[in-house]
Amino acid sequence: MRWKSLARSHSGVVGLVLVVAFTLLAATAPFITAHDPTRGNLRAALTPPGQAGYLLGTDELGRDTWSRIVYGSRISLALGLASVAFGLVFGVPLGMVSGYYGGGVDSVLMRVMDIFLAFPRILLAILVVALYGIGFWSLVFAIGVADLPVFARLVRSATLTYLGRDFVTAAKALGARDRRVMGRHILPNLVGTLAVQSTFSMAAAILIAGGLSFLGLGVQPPTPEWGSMLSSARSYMRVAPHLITYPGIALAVVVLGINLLGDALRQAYDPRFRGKDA
Amino acid sequence: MLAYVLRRLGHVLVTLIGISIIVFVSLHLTPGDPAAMLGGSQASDEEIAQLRKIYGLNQPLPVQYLSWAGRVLHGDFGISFRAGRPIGPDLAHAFPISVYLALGGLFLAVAIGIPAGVLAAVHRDRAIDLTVMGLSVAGMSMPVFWISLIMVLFFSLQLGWLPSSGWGEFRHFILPAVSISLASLALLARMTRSMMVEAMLEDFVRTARAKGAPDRSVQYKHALRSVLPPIVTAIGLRFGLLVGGAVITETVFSVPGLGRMVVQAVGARDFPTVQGGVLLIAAAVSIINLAVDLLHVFVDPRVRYT
Amino acid sequence: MKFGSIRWQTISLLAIILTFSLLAGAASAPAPSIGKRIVVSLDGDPPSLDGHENALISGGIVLPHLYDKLVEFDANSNIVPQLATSWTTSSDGLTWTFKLRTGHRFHDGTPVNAAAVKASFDRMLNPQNPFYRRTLFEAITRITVVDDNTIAFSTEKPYGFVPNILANPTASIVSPTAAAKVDFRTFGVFPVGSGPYFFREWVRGTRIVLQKNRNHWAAANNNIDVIEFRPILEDSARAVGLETGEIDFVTSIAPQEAKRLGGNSRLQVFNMPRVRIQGVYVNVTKRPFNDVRVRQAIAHAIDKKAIVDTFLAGFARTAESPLPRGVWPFKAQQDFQYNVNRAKQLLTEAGFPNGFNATMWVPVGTYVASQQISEAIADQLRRVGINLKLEVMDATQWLTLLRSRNQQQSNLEMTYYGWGTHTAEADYALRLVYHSDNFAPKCCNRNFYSNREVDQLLDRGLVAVNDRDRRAAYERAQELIWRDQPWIYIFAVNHAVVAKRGFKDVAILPVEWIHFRDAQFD
Repeated sequence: MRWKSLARSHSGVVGLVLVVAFTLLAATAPFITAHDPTRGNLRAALTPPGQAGYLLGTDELGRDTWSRIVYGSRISLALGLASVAFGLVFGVPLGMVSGYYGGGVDSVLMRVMDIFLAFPRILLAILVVALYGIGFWSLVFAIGVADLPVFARLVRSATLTYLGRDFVTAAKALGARDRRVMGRHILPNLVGTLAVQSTFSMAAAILIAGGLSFLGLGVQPPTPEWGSMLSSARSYMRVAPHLITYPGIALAVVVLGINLLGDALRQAYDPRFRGKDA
Repeated sequence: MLAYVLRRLGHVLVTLIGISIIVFVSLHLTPGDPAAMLGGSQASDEEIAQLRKIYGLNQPLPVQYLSWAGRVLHGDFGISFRAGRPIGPDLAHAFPISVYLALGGLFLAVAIGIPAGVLAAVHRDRAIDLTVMGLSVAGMSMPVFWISLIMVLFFSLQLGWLPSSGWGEFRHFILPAVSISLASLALLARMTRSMMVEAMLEDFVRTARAKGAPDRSVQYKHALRSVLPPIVTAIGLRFGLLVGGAVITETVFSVPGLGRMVVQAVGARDFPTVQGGVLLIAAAVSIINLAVDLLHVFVDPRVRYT
Repeated sequence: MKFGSIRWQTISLLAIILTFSLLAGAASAPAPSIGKRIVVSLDGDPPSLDGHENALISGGIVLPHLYDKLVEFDANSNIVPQLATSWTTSSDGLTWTFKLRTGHRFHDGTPVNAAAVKASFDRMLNPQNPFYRRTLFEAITRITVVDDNTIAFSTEKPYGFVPNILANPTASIVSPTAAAKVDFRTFGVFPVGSGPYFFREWVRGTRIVLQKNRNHWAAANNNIDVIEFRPILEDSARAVGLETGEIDFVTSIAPQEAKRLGGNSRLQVFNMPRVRIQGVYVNVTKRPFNDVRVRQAIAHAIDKKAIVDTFLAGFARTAESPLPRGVWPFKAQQDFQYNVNRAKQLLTEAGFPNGFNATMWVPVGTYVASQQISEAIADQLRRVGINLKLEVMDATQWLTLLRSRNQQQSNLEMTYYGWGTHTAEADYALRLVYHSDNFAPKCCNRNFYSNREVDQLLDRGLVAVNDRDRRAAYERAQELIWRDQPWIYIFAVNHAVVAKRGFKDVAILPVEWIHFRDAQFD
């Protein structure tokens, strides 16, 4: 029934189509590209789009821009998913424990979360990357760590609202252990909220990953990553504007797709929106 | 009320101490010796040892932390490794720049975002609403570094209207402020719209309308008044983020602000500058958050301080 | 929904993306001209304007205006007079005597005499003072005031390069009275020298403004009244500044940008030699790099010319010797030509017919296009079966890894690397880098190259009393080192300087600093 409401939201459909399209791009990358995204040919460097068999031209190393964008979708989607997963895996249990037990545990955990929240995300990520060096997993950690308090706070407050409900009280009265109450009775009710937050977090994660790569704090070369493509394109901004145009469009469109999907999910899950259409 | 404020201030203090310790420890754990950077690739070990002594890097960690913390309490942020001069004046120079930039961005976001959101809510489901919402979701999705580059290409290079970098005059301020405002603008527009829509469906607005108040005045007065507090909160939070989080905008436009200063210092392992800068940013964020919460109490009588 | 949100949202989205994409077209803008005030970009805000501190970084461009030195380099790296008008060497080669210009004064009015010069050196060389660059001058054992206008420098062993080190910015002569009045940090912010410009203003991260010193003997040589230095970190921002006319002179820029800007009729480009060599540095004690054939194979497998053409856009020369041209006594060697088959053959002889895997460190932010060039090298080496894993890291981390470990601990395999010789002589260029006395962590032989014959030649060159013996030693050393390829030398970088038309006689020196002491601008 959620699918129906998702389908009713037209922008949701657009979002879904975009996300599916990029997922397909990522999945079929080897079949839809003619060049290795990491292999260059200096003699074909900075070829304009459409020439010499390069659909979107080549970069300063003579690597095919189309291949790099297609393969780059793998990196961006994987980064988004992995960093959200990181936030979920650590944030949800923390939030739930905090909300469920309250008291001292709660205030200590929330103070710690406050410390993280008093930090602009990008600065936190930069510090983490300085600590662990650049690379895929350190990027995932850098971004996920900033998501952790977001999920923890969300789950904490949701847990608090369910704590007083009959079904939780009943389960407790029947002698269910805490872990069971949290896992079986409270968690399923959070799925919707978490799905919505995860979607938006993923969109934000992809943007932040792009920003970090842009600052030179992303993945190891020659990995094709949109943000780092834009960063090296800066030096060739006037000579080869295509290098700035396409990775930016790819990044904007994929994030847009995810955001639209998030909006639709929110309408589908949020009771206040149900039945309304906007 | 006073007790509440004091407790919150206590929390801010705990947060700041926590942050300073985390930053201090993680900086010293990072691979990379500041003295190695200072000496450059052609320095000998004697020169490096000399540098370590000059900057007190040869002392044990807790001693370094405590002496740093002690000095900060006296308002002395120490000496920058990279610049070899006191950090205080540099922070005092960069901080207002970041604040101006954040205020400029926020001003644009509020001045355009809120009216756009109201307009969209008033004309719900009409073309204008869908356009505003479409633009705002697109604005939310666009990478700020990309937009900034494209603005430079167009407004600085092609048209030559605005400088692409630098700081000091009003014309330097425009592109960075626009760049920094976009995400907040989109967010505020969306938020205003959705809350207005909700508010207009709520009972007290319906009541007012039933009493015969003309449509427009109902919409503006009642609905807007009821959605104001959360929007004020959102603006406050955004402000905190923009002050320290404008790293990318500051980099693209070479704005000598706080975020850029800290990022460069991280690269050079300029520990005192990173510590001082982060502390300042965290303090700004925490204090703005606190101020917003207190303001909330005044704006919205339904909120009680607990 | 009346309007169908697909249509509206898609349209508005497309509109936005289209607008921004269209804006990505290119064109140029007009430039206003500024009179006798010039705006010069720097790569970064100098750490300090104290002539004795950290002078090799971006300050190297500001300092020559604030301070005089005893001697200076010219465009061919010859030593020319500055405060000193003439100098002589004693017959045993142990004492260098400099005659000073008379009647010159520091900006604060203090006379520039032998006592002041000595006081300035004492300040820089005093181990109590925080100037770590003093080790460059360790050969000098004593400084003597002979008379008011004569000063002598003594060394324990003959050292032929005394004038070269005295031409380094660290040997700037600061006003002893001003320096004694304030602490070091204050002096770094309010510098007082005797140079052709005096300090006017420094706004952090924004500008440093210098004003012409009309009492300077060189004042008549130049028509620039005010120099404003602006730190601009990003290459593209510096290019844009030139194009929009905000900046008159860019001291360094990405070579491709320089090439492109060369097409602009209002701008002029200077492609001038520098004393900096770049290449791939390999740990010669680690397998498989301990085999000279492997190193030569790598040299044959790298298409140096393609790298120079693509990433340096002609602002470099392919390497011809371990020394760049402009370092005395440069001697060109026979090139290891790009030849994939020869490379494969050498690898087979060395026992690696299928190549091998290795890790190459890539520092970012220190060398021009280091990341792109390293990616191209990895791409080229893949053709002979050498698979490189690139590890990009920030400069601090890289420097720490590179220098702090001794031979047993070092995990260096390969790294992109460079060496600049700011004294323009072979001792600094070779002894620190190739002599086995200088193994890391002591100094800068960080790939543990050791060749007895090279060591002996370098020792001999250092103490040789006459230029002929010195030259012979260094020429032979170059040959041996080149054959050994302890690094795979790729190119010697040039200055890529771009300015508005109308600049004349700007000193763009091989020793890397740039100054306007004798420059004209109309």
